[in-house]
Amino acid sequence: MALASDLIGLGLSPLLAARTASAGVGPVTMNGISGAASFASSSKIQCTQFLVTISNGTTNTAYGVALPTVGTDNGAFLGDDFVINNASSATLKIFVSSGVAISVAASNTNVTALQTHTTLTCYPISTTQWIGVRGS
Amino acid sequence: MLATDLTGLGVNPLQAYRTANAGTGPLTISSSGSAFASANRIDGAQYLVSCSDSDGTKALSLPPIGGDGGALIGDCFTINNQGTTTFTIFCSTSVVISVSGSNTSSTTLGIHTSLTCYPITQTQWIGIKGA
Repeated sequence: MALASDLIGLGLSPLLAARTASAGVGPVTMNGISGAASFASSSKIQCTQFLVTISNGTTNTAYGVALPTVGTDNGAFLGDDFVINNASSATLKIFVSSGVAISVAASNTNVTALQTHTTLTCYPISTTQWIGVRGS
Repeated sequence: MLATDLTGLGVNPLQAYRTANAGTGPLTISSSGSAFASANRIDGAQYLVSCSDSDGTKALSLPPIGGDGGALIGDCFTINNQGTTTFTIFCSTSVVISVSGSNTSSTTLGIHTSLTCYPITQTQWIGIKGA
């Protein structure tokens, strides 16, 4: 299912490709913000950036990214599938936007932690709720 | 669904095998070998497979990334173990997978567990392994 650009190359319209490619529009790599303590201070995953790995964390320094808001012009759609991998040597914090929670790893919380070389798959199921599967 | 389901709905074959979540199939695969070169290889668009003949020695390998028969960046592969023993899944030469706390050239899959994985560069997969 690839990147949107691959599907466009097969004849899909760009809007359809962006929504159906498993990796979305990319890029598949991004940086977290060192010391990020909130949604506002974290680097944002884009609304069709469905597959991303973050590798710039350093040992003993927590760093953060944020899931997109849900809905509106630049937000995720209900049911979108986001996959986030931590390829660094530090724990990655993943924040959700204000008033939103994610049900994952036995908690319903506004931030979840992703350990080194583990991956989270998550989906917005309402404008205020994500659900997630965190890999072992 | 499989690509054949989409072609039956009028989607062209190239689009169908890249957009069907199960790809081209087949949905079952046998294990063999004990390294990338000798293990039974998952095809570049065989996105959903289950293996039930593991015997503690045989293995599977992920497709190479890129090239005519390889996986594309962002493709989603799900592999299940229905067998009675753990089997190993190998990456191609010089390729590693970030999964289960390690960045490694191979990973194991326990009985009745599944791994979903994605190539994110030509030398790197990421994976989420079920508990």
